[in-house]
Amino acid sequence: MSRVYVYTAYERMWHWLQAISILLLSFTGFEIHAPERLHLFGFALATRLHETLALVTVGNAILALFYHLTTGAIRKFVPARGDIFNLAYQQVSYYLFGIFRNEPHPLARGPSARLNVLQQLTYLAILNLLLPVQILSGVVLWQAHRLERVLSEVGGLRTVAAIHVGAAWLFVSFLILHVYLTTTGPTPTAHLKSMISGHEEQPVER
Amino acid sequence: MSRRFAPPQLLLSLLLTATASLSTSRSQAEDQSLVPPPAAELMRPAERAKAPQSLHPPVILKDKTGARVAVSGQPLSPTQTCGSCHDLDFIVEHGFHFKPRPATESTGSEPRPPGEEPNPLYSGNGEPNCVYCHIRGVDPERVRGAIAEGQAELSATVLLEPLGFGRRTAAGWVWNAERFDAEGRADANFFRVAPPNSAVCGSCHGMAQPGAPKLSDYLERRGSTVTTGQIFSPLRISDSRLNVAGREGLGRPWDVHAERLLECRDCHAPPNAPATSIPLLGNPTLASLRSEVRHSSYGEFLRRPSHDFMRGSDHSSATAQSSPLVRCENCHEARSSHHFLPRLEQHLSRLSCESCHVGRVRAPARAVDDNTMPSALGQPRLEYRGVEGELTDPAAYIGGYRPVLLTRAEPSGKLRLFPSNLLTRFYWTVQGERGREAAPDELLARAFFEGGAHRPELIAALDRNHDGRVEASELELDSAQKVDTARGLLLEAGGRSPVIVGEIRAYPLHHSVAPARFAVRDCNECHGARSWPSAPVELARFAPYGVTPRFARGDERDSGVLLARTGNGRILLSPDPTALGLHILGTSRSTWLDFSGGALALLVLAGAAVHGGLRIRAARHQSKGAKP
Repeated sequence: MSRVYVYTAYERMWHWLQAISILLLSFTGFEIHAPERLHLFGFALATRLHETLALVTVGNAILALFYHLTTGAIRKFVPARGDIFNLAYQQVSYYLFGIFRNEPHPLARGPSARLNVLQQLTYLAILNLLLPVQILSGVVLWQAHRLERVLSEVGGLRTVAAIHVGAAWLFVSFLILHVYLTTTGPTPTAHLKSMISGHEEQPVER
Repeated sequence: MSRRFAPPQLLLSLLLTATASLSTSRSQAEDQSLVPPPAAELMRPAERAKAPQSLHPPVILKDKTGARVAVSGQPLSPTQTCGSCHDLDFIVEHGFHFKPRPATESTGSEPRPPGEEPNPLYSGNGEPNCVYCHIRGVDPERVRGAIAEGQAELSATVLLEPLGFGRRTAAGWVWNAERFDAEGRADANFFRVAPPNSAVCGSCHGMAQPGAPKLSDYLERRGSTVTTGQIFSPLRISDSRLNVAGREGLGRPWDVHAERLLECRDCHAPPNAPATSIPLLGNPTLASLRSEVRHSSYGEFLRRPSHDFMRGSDHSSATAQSSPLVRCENCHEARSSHHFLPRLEQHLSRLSCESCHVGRVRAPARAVDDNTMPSALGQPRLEYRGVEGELTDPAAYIGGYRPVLLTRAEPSGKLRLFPSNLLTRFYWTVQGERGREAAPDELLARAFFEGGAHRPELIAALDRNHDGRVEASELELDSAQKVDTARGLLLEAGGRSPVIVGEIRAYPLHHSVAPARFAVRDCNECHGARSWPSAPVELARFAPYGVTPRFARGDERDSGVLLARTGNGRILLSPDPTALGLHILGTSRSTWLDFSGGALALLVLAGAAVHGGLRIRAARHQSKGAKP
């Protein structure tokens, strides 16, 4: 086995900040949504925390976008043309069958190839669709008293709130799946360790 | 020379004395901090003390011909007396107190019975009754007595009887010459001209006197205390004689503005008074101005004081729409004192100040006025909310009530939530010459009563316990047969197509304002499953058979409520904030969205659990197979 450096310090920092923010946003958001079911911070503090964490998340996302664009790291999120369906099929087959037979992972991981095609598609959808929708709907809810004209165009607070809540449920589902899939490495904690240390143990090819 | 030092004992005693005095003063200071501020009534000039003379010059009281009453002996004419210096035509023209009010209009006072009621401020021979409001020490009830006895021309004169200016006799009114000087001027020590105080306003509009409120006031007084329970008094609730729930902990005044020595006129001021600042809040064409800066001169104001006093934003009266509005924002700047509130601007744009600063009302309010079957005394069936027991019982338990939050449009067109009490009236209507109208009391009396008791047909229909009379608990038309019996009697008495109408009227609360520390501060009051804005309210314990009340004309903008009638005639109202465009975090939710989202998350969790379990099983199988 050899140790390969796969995640830069910034990528790890960005990832963990985003993870903690989204996790806390989920908890505070749930307390705001159903205060009678969750009492963690109190409604007023949950609201303030939610707004603060949202700003942190947005700031983090903007800086990460800047980083990925200027360093070219954004390329790892873009699936290779022509191979998408095959690679996706291989990845799905691995998760449904191969993983139980201890077959090798279809993706040869390295510094330039860290995301399988399913991950690429998922992250593209989340970072370019779900996250912007969540941010925009959150901003409208936050500044509803100033955006009444906008609200009247999109169906009112009820519609915006429904979009925000729906996207939140999708985030929660993604979070569950994402945390579970980190256990699909060579060892259950391999991916987690690599996201902390930046290094990953990979078998040496003879 | 040897130094002399104070003996050690003296030093020790000095030290002990200093320590004792320090600790005493500190404990006194601490005790002082625990002592509540003096009650408001201690800060007022004592009633027993001789009141300072008014700045108003001595007044010659005149009759309607302009002659001095001390000479003519005729009743007082405000037009001739006050009109000598003040432009009464202007005052009447610019005074909604002097305009006739339709019977169906709500002005924040007690709902009046069908038909018009004489106005104590503008009756008699068509003169404004200046004495009622502007002379200290008069007894307002005497006006109603004079009007009831058909002597409306004495409306202003009879008010002076408690001041010793005269008395009513069998021969008519007799003036007391001792109260006048040689030139017919009234003794200024007794005829004290002054702006109206809160007690005068309260004689019509509700409890607004410095004395302790009593439950019997509900039976005597009209006004917004009956319709909302609001009390404008500086006294502490804990010091009152009312059996209020949790009284010991309510060391707050009934109204904080009354405690701070505000009078009604301080807020409801004449718009052209030089000291009045007319706010221009919400005026889109004058957005850069906070208030109107042009004022009348003092002389012009004294001659022509507008009586279209500044009013709250809730009144639907066409006669009141000419007067400027007075709101909390005229004096208070919420943004500087509400930093604890998340999303402050959203709260301020959606909630009126009263929503949190009135909150729970600690006094009863009328809930139902059912005149479909009056008692033998001709009284309607009344229900009150917020009290257990009869109002005639001083020990009646007052739990208070939580008003309904309803939206009302402000001049800018924005909707804000205001706390309101909902009063439901049930009454018979008949076809009249001008269309459908409320059945007059005399028709009901002719139809339902005979010889001072209910007609035998009614007794037979209503007497549930068969004791031969209709008791208060039996005055309920709870079946089609009873309604038909009553309707038949009305038809026989000459009523045309009698129909029972149920009408809901919202009476907003603007008084009984609590100090800041008693305001609503718990976010969960509004944000949660049991949210105040969407909490159901029992409108009526009982409604006549087949009648579901509707909001009165003029209150339709308070729609967005769901009315439900239960099997036993109970009427429930459930506000629907979503229908009003309000989205309340923690309350307004889409059930199907939460269900779908939760199901998706659970599905993913279950899938991960199953997948993980299968992986563990597969790994164990593989490790067993690898062992020799």
